[in-house]
Amino acid sequence: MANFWEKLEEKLFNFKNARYQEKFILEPGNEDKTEDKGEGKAEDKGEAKGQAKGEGEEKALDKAKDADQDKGREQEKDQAGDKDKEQNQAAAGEKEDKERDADQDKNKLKKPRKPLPLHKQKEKRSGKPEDLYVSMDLETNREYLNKIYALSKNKDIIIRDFYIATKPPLKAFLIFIDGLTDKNIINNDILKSLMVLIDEGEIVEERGRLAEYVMEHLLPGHDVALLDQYRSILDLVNYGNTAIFIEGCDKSLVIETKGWDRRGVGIPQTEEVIFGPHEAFNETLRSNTGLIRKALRNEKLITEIQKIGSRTNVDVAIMYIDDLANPKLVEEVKHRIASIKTDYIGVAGILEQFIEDAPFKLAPQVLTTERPDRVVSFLVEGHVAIIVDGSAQALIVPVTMFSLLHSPEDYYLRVPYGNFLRVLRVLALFITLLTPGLYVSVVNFHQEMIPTELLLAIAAAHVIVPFPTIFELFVMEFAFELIREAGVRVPGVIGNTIGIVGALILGQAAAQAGIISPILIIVVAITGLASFAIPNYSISFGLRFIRFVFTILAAFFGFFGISGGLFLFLVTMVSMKSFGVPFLAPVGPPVKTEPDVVLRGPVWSMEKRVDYLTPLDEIRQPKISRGWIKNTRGGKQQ
Amino acid sequence: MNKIRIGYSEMTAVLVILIGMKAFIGYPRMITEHGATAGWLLPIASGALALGLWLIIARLLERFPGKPLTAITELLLGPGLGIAVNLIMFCYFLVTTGLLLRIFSELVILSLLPETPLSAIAVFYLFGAWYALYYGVEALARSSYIALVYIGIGLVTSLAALFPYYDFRMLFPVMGFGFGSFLKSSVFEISSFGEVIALAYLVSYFSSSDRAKIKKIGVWSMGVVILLFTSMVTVYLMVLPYPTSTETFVPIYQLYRSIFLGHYVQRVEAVFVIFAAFTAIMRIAIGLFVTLQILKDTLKIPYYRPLLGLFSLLLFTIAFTPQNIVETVKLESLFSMYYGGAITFGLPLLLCAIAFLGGKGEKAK
Amino acid sequence: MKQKIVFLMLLAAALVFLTACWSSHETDELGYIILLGIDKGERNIVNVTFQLAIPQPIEGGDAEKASEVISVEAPSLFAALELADSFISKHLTFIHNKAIIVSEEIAREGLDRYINPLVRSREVRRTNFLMVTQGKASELIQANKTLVFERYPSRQIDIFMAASRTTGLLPHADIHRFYEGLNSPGSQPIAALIGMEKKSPEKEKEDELKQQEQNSKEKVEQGLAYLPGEIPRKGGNEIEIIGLAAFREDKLIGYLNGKETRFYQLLTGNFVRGSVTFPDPDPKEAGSNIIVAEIIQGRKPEVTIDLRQQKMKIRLFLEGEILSIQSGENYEQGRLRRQLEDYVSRTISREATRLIRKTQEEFRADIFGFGENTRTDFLTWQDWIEYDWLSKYPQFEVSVETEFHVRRTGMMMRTAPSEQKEG
Repeated sequence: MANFWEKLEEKLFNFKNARYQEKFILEPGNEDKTEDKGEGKAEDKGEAKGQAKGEGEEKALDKAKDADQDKGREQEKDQAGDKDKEQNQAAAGEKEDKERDADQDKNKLKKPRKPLPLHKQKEKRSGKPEDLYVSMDLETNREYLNKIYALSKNKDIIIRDFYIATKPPLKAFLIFIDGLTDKNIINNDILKSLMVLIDEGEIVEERGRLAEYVMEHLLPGHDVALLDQYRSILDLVNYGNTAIFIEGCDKSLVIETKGWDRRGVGIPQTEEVIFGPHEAFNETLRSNTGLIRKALRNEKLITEIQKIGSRTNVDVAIMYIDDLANPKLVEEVKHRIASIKTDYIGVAGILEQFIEDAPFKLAPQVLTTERPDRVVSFLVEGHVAIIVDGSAQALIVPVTMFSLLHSPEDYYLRVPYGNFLRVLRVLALFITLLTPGLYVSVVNFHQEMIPTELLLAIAAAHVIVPFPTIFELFVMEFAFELIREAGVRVPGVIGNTIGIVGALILGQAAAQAGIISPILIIVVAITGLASFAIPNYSISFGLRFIRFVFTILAAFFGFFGISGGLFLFLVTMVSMKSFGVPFLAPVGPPVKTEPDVVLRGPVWSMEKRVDYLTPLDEIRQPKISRGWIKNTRGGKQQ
Repeated sequence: MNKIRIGYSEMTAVLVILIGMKAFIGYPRMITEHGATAGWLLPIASGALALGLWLIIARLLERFPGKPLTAITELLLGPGLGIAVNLIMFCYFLVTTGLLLRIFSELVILSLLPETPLSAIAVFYLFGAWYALYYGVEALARSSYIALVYIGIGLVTSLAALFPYYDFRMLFPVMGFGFGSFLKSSVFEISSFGEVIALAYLVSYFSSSDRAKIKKIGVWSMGVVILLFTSMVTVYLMVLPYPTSTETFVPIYQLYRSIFLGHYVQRVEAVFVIFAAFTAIMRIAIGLFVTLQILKDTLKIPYYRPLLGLFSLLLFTIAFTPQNIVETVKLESLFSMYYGGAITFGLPLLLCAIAFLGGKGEKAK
Repeated sequence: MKQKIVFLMLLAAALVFLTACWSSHETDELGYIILLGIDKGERNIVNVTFQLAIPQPIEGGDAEKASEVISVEAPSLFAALELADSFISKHLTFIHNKAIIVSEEIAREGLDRYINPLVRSREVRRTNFLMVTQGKASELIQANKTLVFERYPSRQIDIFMAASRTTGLLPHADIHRFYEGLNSPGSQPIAALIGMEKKSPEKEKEDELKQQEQNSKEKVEQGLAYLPGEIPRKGGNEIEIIGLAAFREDKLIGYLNGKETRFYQLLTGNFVRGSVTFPDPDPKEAGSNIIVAEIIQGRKPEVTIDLRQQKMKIRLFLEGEILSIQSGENYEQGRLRRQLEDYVSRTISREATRLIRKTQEEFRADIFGFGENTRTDFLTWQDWIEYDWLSKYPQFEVSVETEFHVRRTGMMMRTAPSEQKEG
């Protein structure tokens, strides 16, 4: 039992510090090897960059980038290796750096590294943070930072000099970015504890282990890291952490002091429900992952973090349940994200376009949601969620057509009500897609279909209209789309009135002026209304677009065009894939499934997870999930 | 080899559409021509016969596990004769698909778009088929599986909506033109199930676990088609009894037009023609696919996609060869519903004879 | 390149807007024929009359102006259609046609020649009603402009014809059934009967005299036995649809009046429900009192035909609800009820047999389609054709049996005797 708890704690710890593992990527795991590698690479890079500078050719730059990338990959591998080792060796509560090869570390730390002259030359020559290491000399560090941050121009980066009140006092400074950091922490927890609260008798034993000593004994911060490479220090400082440099210490202490102004947890804007939680994601990654963890209290929930965007360096969290999500799927998601080479990915929408399978097809292959409860429900199915720092939406992959048409409310309501909504929505789907096309084909081609009285009324209304029906329809549809777009763009107060003005007055006036026949306004209005009933904004967009295709086909071929359009639509949908999962699964291809495709069964009847994801654990709940039912016939029948 | 796999139920759906599409065009008329009032029994008799033949052919396939019929033909007959036989089969599928294209286009003109040029409609059909095949057989197979349910619902609804016209007395005299004639017709009518042989050419699309089920797929799909044919012909005979039943060009359309359920539910045929046209595009695509598949395996070409454009054009040409619709319908009826069996069942049975008598086969070794 | 594609797409879109697409017609370009009348032409082969529906908005409109009637003489139906296009600024179309009215003259001559374009055409559908009028179809359709309740004659005809299920006074006769009757060796075709109100003062007087002479029993037996134009009435539409036209092969041979049509419906199993008036079962009361019952056909009649002995037996299964008992006797219960049931059964059987006799002797045509029941007696089609039912039909001996049960008695269980004393 005790063993179990130890392991649990250890794993929890690993999760907590997942971010730091990232940092260690940049630190050599094995001194000998990495130094060789480092040199080799440094040379490579130096050459490459030299070429780049010298020749100013793009190719060379690419090469350099490739070299960087390779390095990243290898380090990732190292990291993975380390992680395994750690799980075997490390004891709970120890800091990450100690968990690594302890002996080698000690050797390294006792004899502070003196950079080779050659190495140093290269440092100076490139001047890039990737090649810079923390110097023992405080002033050198300050100089480095000065150069990197261009402190003379950059005014929101603050360096604060102080002495650590040990005996003898140690000169140090800390650097942070104003606006990203919580000043209370810096004042009360860092500066106060280092300058004021130190006992008189405090003596630093070993100079070589100075930074470790400060961290272990003096600094009360909850999240402190020891780093010596500038790249990793800068990454953290840029993200609101505070770095302390100490005289005679070749490592910097980086303390978590994030604290910027941010939006609190708000209510969902586009996915509102009546029953169910009203929490929505906000723009902060941590708070978003926190919202998910809050609802999914499971140590197997993994949050892996990758950085993307060479300029923006935004964190992207990949969340999945370790013993549930198919490892191949997770690997594919990680691979796709890691392979992106671009300078800016600021929001989830852009990342979606980078990772989706078929960018030009009109249905989304990634589910975008702003609801933590939705994400959780997908995670426990074995899906993978991707959260981009700075955007209030999470991406869920893979996704099928049917899950795009589901709304969380379907599940929160009782079976009959939920199914009622589902049926309504399927109807809405077809109305959105087909109504204008059907109207055109019936009115222009198959007049025999309409009841005679209605046909005569339509004809009577059209007698005064000087345009063909198809033109009328396009004008009206265009006007409707305009109203819709205007309603979104126009400032809030006017936005609501735009809809009323547009829909009522425009329609009424157009009909009275005899430009549009009144029945057509009904058609357009119903189509528009139905498109709002589709829960996913993305697919609703796609359907709005496709309905024009159907309208044009109908204008040429009537019902034959519609049936051809349906065929093309079906073939396209069926040929699509989202991260290897067919878009129309589990219907095409037919896979075994629990009753939750178009209609849904009662919650206790869904015993297995969806088959097309091949989750590691297929069973969701036992055959008889309602334990209080004594008679087996009352539960799920065998 | 290709990695595309078609599942069990999808393949069944493909076959049902490939064989059963006749029910939407001339089959009921044809069958009442040959069987008169016994027409509703003919599909059962000829279907049972065809099923028996299929079981024999399936045994041949079992002897050569994993090999399509094209390869088996070449193994048994030698390369020269083998290729010739394969090409005959290829021509059969090509010509029937071409004729079907014409008939389907004429059907659309007749039912929906009386003033649209035939070529525009044929091009639209071919575009649909080309698009589907361009996205791959997998997409085609899956769509047919999904569509089959809706086509089925549409068909059942339309047939049920005709109930005020049902007159069960019209199914008698039960033997039609007499027992001899009935037997003869049921032998000839096995041609209507001839397309089942396409399954033998699609062996490479099965995963190894599904391969053993080829026989079962054939049986299932033929079973469904027999049911479809029987119900179709029965309703047709009940609504449009024998002598007039031989008059109509497209029986199902005549049936759809007859739906009259009071003031509000009448003149609804256009809705049901949507289903028919949808199935027709699918049938053309599947026919084209089978044709290309046979050619691909005969000539040992790795992909069929480069041939798509060319063969779409060829189909178009074939479709426009007959002078008028009556001629087309006659040709098609003879080809795929009366004498076609000589090719579709005859040739493979010949191969069976050679294989079984000569004791050839991989299992035998 | 992409801009070119976009440009081409815009061009295509413009084409959609600007050109009329193949087969595409705007709703107001078409003239919807809802009634078609065919007469013998005077200057050409046929005189074709169209009743066109005029587009009217749903919210307003005038029944007087709801339709327009035009007549054209031409060599053929479709020639008339095209000729009409030259003086009506709409393309006339049959897609919404409801009924085809043929004059007696043409029907007597033979409908075969006229029915062919109707079953072949794409526009005319076989679900159109087929009616015969005793006068001229053109005059009848002209008279149909005076609609009382309906804005459009389209709905008018559908509602009229739905009465075949609620009163049984007219058959549900459409082209499809006519054509099948024409082609089947086991039955003969029929059509519905339509006519105009006869407005001559002499006729009214004649009717009055007749009615004064008859007693109640005779009146009841005469009741409903009207052909179109004979119904004694005032007001309402000028047209009347009642009765049935019987054909032998494609030629009109006679009419069945409203009462007979009911029994026709009963015998073919198409009668759904209708109230029937009988004289009082008690012979003493028969002259003055009546009984009204709603008759419902429980299931289709059972027809047994003995080909060898040339005997035909038909059993009708009816149930009913009493609507009125004028005499105040308690026919609802016990012995009296059985007496009533027997009486009704006998009356219906007698009337039905009389009707069949009429078709056998007068028409010599199996308009009921009894012949279809003999199909099961033969194994092959040739045998059945050889037997030649239609020529043998008149010789068959017919017996009709009726099983009638009173199921409901309306709102009353019994009639309490009146205790008031006179004087």
